[in-house]
Amino acid sequence: MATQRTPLPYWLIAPILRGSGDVWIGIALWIAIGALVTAALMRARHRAAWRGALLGAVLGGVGGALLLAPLWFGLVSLLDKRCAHCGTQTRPDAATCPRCGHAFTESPRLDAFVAALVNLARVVMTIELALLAGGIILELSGKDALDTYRVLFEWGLGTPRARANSLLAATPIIFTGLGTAIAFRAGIFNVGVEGSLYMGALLAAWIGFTFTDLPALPLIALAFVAGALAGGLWGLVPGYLKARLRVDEVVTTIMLNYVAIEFTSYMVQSGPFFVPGMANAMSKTIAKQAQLPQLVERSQLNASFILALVTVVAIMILMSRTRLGFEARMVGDNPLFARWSGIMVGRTILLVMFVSGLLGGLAGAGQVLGVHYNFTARFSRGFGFDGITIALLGRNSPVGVLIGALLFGALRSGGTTIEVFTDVPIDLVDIVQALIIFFVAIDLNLDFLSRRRRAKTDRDAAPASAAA
Amino acid sequence: MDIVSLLDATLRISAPLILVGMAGLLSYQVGLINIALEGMMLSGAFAAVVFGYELGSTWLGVLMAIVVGAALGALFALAVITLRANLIVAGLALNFLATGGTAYLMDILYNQSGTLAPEGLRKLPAVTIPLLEDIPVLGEMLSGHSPLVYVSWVMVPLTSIFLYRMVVGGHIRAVGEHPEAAQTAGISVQGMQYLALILGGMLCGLAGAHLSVGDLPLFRERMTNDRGFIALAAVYFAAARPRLTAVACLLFGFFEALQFRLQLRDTALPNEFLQMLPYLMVVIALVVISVRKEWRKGW
Amino acid sequence: MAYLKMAGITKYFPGVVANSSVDFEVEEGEIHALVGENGAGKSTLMKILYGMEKSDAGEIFLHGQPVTITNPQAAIKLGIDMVHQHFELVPSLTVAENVTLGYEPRRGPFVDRQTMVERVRRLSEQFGLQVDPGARVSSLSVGAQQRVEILKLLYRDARLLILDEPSAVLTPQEVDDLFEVLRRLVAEGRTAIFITHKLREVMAICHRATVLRAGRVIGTVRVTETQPETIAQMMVGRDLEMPRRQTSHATPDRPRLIVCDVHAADDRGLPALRGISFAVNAGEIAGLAGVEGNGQTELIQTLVGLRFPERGDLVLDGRTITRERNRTRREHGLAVIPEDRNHQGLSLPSALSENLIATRYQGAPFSRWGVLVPGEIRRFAQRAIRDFDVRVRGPNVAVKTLSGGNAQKVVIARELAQPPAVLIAAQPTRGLDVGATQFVHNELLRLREQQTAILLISADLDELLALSDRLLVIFEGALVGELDRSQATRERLGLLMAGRAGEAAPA
Repeated sequence: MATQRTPLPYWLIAPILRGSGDVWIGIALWIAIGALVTAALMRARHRAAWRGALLGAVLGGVGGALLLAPLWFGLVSLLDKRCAHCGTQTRPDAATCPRCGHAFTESPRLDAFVAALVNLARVVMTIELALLAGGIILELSGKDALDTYRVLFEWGLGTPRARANSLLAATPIIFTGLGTAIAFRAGIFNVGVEGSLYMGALLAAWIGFTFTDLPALPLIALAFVAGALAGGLWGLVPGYLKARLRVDEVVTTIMLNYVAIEFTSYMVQSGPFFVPGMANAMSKTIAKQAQLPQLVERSQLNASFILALVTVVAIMILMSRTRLGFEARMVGDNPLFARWSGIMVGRTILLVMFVSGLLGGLAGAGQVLGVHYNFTARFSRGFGFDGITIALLGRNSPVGVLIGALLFGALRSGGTTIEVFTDVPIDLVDIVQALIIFFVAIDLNLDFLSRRRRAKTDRDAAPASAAA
Repeated sequence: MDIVSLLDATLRISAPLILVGMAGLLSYQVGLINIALEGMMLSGAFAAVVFGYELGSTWLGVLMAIVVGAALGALFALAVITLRANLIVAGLALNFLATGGTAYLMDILYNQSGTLAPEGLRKLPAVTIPLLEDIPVLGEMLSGHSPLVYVSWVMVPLTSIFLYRMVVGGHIRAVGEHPEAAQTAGISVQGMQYLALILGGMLCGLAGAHLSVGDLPLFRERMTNDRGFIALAAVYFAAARPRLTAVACLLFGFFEALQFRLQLRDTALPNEFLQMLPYLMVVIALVVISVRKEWRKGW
Repeated sequence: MAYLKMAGITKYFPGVVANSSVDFEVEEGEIHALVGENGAGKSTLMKILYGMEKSDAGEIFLHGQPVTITNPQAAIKLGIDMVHQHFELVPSLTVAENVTLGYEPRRGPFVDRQTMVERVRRLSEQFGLQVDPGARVSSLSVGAQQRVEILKLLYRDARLLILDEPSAVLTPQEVDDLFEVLRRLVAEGRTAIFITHKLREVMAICHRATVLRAGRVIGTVRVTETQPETIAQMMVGRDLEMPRRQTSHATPDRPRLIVCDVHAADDRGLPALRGISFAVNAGEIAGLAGVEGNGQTELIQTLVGLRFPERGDLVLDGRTITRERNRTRREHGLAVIPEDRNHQGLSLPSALSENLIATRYQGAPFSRWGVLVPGEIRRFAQRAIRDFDVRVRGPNVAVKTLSGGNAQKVVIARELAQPPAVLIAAQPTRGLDVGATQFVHNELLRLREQQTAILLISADLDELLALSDRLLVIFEGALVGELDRSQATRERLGLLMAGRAGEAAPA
């Protein structure tokens, strides 16, 4: 995505990093965390009345101030910088020594570590905030929020089988998240991974029920390759329109999603893949040997999850270590500069859109070969859109996408059970997801105020550099 | 095939599209791509049924649909303008919130899932136009629709007048095209964006009300069925000109009506192709527009 | 009592003091020039007056009364209004709609179109600002657009008009028209502040001039009692120190860049280059002079390969490159310092090392088989940082944290890491301080010794005169003059730039 994000304002990560003036905010945050968690625990574990929860809050607050904060600050002070000249110890994000002005040399590993920490904290906080808001909604509608969440997480993470199901739910959205993320990183707002997913699924299914004579491995490989190619080629359509004709990709990808959905529905509803006796709109079942092996008992978790993990690594390498990745990042950071430096922007957009669609196609193929064993019209439960959320949540980094997808998988998988075990409608999961997207979209704007401040300084700095 | 009833259906089906189209047009003109039309419309549909039932008057339900639409428009504006959320992402989020929220509320409030058709809720009375209804073909086509159909027709010239004749409308267009210029001219950019999105929300609410209480007095989950996106397609197809947008909506409505007819008989043209037509047309229109102006340009 | 008084205005930007206790006074009915080099703080001061920036300290008095101006609307209410360097006009609206934007004559909630057009027409006749009120702004020439901007100010009844470098985009004829309008405005009691760095204009039209340098007021002078040289000296604070020219290094018979009868269109499809032909020899700096907007941008883009000529040929070291893309040209030895450093020359959010390899990542040693070699990239970046003395923490720092001079060093380090065959240097010192400017000049001269052919495009005549071996003048997309350094004077260049080639012939 085009928005290049700046590092977090210091006070937000104050609980993680110690800092002179911001330390009070950090302590306050830790008190809040301690209080909230203890109160929640008191209420959940002991079914205590609100009085008990209040007591828990007070105790937890004190605990947060006395225990958590010092512990944490002590821990992170290890990250601090020490000036080689005068020995002053200062915050790790400082560029120069506050006392003698000596410029620090950068330490890329530390910077990367801090950045990763900050991002993890951001992801977790976003989801926590959304769950908190969801909890308020639950309480307002007279449901027991803690009990609901207990069910949600027990069935999302509580047992081996639950965990397997969460991974199963995470599998397609790892692919779509990666596909969306690499397009976003190249500054292409590709909303069309969903369309690629349908195209890939359709073609993988076709291979699966057509070449039934092939042995397992070649058939599976062929189905994946065909699915990926179908998705990639579908991604090339808006890619070509953007790269060569400069048609805005947001609108075309949204529209082409519907075209793909309608087209694939036609194929199984009344088109060539129509099966007369079948009640629902679905294709023939794929050959037995094309069905992916399952990884654990009593769950549909299958080999495509392994492929997803491998893909995460592959995309990581692609983006950070290859020429295409470099080109994609440059085009994403500043397309005009990329053109002036001789990077073929159009070609890069085409390639990135191809890879993005390819990942969508893999997601579709994986669902067909590992879960449904056929192509069903409109089978995607918004996997493409989940991918967008996850890409944003993971800030377009492959590892971030993986983490986001796993969390989302648990949420989705656990969510399907809450209706069974509580009287809370399953639609709560949609609401929580919407809230997560909202919080991500406003860039976890706890830092809203300081962002305004920063935007103002940016505006101020602009005339200074371009002053007449 | 009965042409008259086909056109009759076209008018009925295109009415919400036109209303939502005008909403999308307003946000296009103020420079924002509004993905959230769908969600605002769905919430409006829900609000019309719920409040129409609870307050005992369908018209009050319609009014509340408008209010709810406006509130969601304001929420969207808050996220996008004040909190500077990404436009597309916030739009998607609002749509999720609307689908999840309406279904959740339906369950919580009425213990229903799938469809909500409260007893005693009546649909809006059809309007018969005194003289017109007596004209053979025309009367059959134009008269006897739900009142919101006529409202949608009135909205088109109203939108046009609003945008091109009124002071505020000019300000909205200036903001959409050159925010800095508008800013220095003393126009509040954020104010205009809020205004356009809230007005759009109201129109969406109205469109939703037409879907739920205009024909059958019931609400179904996801009953808007991507009409928000079809309307958005119409806006892009018409490059946000009010009359042309309305024409595009009528055209898309015609396709949908046609598709219902074709479903009943066995034809060569599968109805999926009719359904994808609006979307394909937008892509083609965008391509044509940019082919015309591109290539000569350097970067 | 002064009409306007700004006292002790101070404004900090991160890392820079834009204005440092500036005192500034303007009398009623005068045209007051605000002059200074790029980055002297002129625009900042005026933005504070216009309410676009908030000063960190200082006060503003109008007719002796203290006033607070928090936004442009407040300024407009006080009768202070500004024409920006980049016009703030809505292209699809008509002239009348643009002029009255925000202050439309109304009939109820509706726009009173008739009154609107009538008022704008009357205003344009009254001040001799000829524009058709019904025309769409997108169809107007730049000069006409500026007239619309001025009409906008007059419509809002501005008493004090601020004009930010109004002549930069105008032809000499249009500049004369502008001056005529300004004279008429002050004649009927209005006041104007004229931001410029062109001394000729200060001498031609202004009554007094205030000179800013590095955010401080150097002094205010009465123009009739002052020589232009005095003002120039106040601006730069020294006799402009340009590098002493050494003997020529040019190899006359070895043209490394040949441009032959090149025709090209601009973004709107209108002809921008009409048959440009010239050659640059090895070891030669050819300076291209011209008023901004006469085809320089299109010429640079054509040379770089971002715009393809409709006709004509480009030859680099004997190889025709007319149809080659940017990357291929670079492989053949072309290097570019782009006009717009922050957008064309650098990717601000990207790391320094990424900026440095952006033109050469394709091949060894930086990548092999499509895979990058981080170690090589890092080593290369560290060497570049050392060789070009970039003040930075390390190669992974984002370029947006660098100052203007350091950022330009990054561009130069990238482009000159290997001595290029041909260098296109467009406005290489724009916005740089003295030290950084000298660094750039020395680099250009060093390259000249190494037999690079350099095309120097600059808005700064002094820079061109000091560095160039030969001067080319571009006017309306054609070369209208070619002067050897020894024949070139400011006056002759000025006439050529104004398209008056006949008068510029040597006597």
